[in-house]
Amino acid sequence: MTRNVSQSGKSRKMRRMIVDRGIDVVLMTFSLLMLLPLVFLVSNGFKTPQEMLAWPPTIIPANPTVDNFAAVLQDTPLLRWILNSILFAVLSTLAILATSSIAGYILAKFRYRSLNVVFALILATAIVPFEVYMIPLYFQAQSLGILNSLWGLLLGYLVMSFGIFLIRQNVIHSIPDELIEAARIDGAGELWIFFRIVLPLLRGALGALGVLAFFQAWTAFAWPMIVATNREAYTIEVGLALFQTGFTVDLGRLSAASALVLIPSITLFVILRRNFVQGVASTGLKE
Amino acid sequence: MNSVFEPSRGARLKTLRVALLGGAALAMAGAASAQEIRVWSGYPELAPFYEHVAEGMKAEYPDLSVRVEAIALREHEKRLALGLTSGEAAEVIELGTSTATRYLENELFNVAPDDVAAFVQDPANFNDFFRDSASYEGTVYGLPLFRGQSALYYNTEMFEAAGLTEPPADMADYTSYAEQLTQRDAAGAPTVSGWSLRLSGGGQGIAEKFWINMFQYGENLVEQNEAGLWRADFANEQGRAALKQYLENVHTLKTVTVEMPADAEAFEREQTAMFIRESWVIGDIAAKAPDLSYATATLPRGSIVAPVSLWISGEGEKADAAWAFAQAANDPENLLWLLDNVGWLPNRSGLDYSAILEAKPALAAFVDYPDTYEFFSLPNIGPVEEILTRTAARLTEAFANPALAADDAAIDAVLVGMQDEINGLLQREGLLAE
Repeated sequence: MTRNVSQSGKSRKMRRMIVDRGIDVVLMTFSLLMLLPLVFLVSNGFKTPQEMLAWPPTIIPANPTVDNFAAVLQDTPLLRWILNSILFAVLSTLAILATSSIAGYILAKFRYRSLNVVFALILATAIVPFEVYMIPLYFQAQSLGILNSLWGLLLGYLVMSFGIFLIRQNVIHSIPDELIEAARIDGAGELWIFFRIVLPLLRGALGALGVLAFFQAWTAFAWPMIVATNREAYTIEVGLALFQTGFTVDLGRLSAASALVLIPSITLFVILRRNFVQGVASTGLKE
Repeated sequence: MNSVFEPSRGARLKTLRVALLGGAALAMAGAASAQEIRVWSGYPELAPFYEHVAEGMKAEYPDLSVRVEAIALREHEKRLALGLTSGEAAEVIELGTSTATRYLENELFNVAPDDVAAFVQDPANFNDFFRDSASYEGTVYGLPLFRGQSALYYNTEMFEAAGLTEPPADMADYTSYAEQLTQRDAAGAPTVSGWSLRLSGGGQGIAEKFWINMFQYGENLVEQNEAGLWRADFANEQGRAALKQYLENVHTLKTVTVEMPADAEAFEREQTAMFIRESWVIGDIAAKAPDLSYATATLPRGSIVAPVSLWISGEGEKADAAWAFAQAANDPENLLWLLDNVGWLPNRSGLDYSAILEAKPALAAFVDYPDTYEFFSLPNIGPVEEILTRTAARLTEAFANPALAADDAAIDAVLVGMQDEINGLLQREGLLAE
């Protein structure tokens, strides 16, 4: 009887192990398939134009060359574009974190009827695509004289309505009114409460929002493309468009440039991966 | 204690003021003598050409600096729409005539000075077609520069293997050549297409390619009357022949399929024996498939041409410098450099291409064509893109329908539907010729 029990336990264990391994194999296969475009991107950067044409395409270049990388770094201000993108993304992230945390906290914890209207208006702007108000914003940037500058790029990326919503919801759910009231009773000022109590408790949500804001600015194309018309003012996304000729795309150089561009974004992802995963989990968004 | 050599506070302030005034004067003098103009282009591969032109102007205009800003065509057009209306656009703008018309209608480009207008109107410099491409209502606004133009590319080794010694001379030849050139597997399915036709992909391209083929039969997608209005009238024998040729090749002779690789890449990979494309393919082949044995040939009747001109915006000395730059771009030496190094075809007449053709004989079909060769171009009307996109959608549907191949009445019905839709769009815009 005991032997039968231990045998059925063994077979259950075996079944579970087989199922687990099966799941592992499926997940590994999907992971590899997801990675394949990235692998091809890097691999294409090392291929000659002739090998780029080869069909079926090769994963490991037969005659690897660094010509594409050299051409990209010599013929284009790629590093300048990367720097522009980093500055743009970092400053936009800081601005969005500041505006979202202040507005989110006020909308969550201060009780005025007019604030509900303001909140409704902020939510309403979230459903208006950026392209709709891009043109009036362009004319605003022109009248401010900030075209072809970092400030011009930032103009459309200072506030994120979704960020305000995210922080408001986090404040409501994670910071009890009693805590703030207790601080007030103890004589704390509003700024002290905001900086010493609210912000530290929002660290996780702000981290997630920061990652989302950074990648929103990093991948922006339409706005930087119309605001920055001087080559030196391009962001990397706009700069990559230069590898497209009248009828074709220079895939070798485009791949090389894209591979170089991956370095900062992958580095940031590695540093902030925990916040990124939290951001995806808490918002359901990938961006 | 102050040193005797140390200037007093007043003397220091005076020195500072003088230095500041001197610096400001120098800066102003610099601003007055140095001049910068910008060139906006929709073809990044042309940036070296404009830089070459600027370099050549250095002797005559030592203080002129030219900033070339080139980006992909669609982005260039978006940027231009905002830049021109806000007054932020470059002084020299490169743009195809079909897109430039909307800005000409709104007087957003400068009228050409008399000397430039005379240069453009001189038949020794430009034929009527290119003169008109840079003019609006009889007034010259731009300087014609380069064009896209189509020709036949064919694989000479495949022609030789099929026993073909000459390129196809008429459209009937195209079908019979395609049949002879198609390579098949044991089951009879084509593995190398005889003639790569545009059957899928970007919408406008399908309609443009169909128009090129229909033009060889003597018909156009839309035609302009003397009053300047337009009409589609191709539901006739020529239109039917053009559409039937597609259907026959796809469904009856099976020389090509919708799924087969197409266009320049297929030709470079030797997956098709012949196809019709612009001159840029020559440079592409040189880079990607330098060992490919191929030649080019003119089309039976003529080709689509997409003329691109330089237009000027701005005022005063900057505008003058911009016109000087546009004229320098039309210098024969620069135009030959353009063809040799970039591969785009100059619009100017009377250029001596012999040295370039010796090194790159494939260019001959683009610049050395018969006197009777005819050109057509996309109409400079607002709804042209909508016309092409909607026509392409109907064509794609027709190409996928095998029942049409042997049914002339059904082909006519497709043509009538396409024609009526185009005329409806023209009527909506007040452009329909009755």
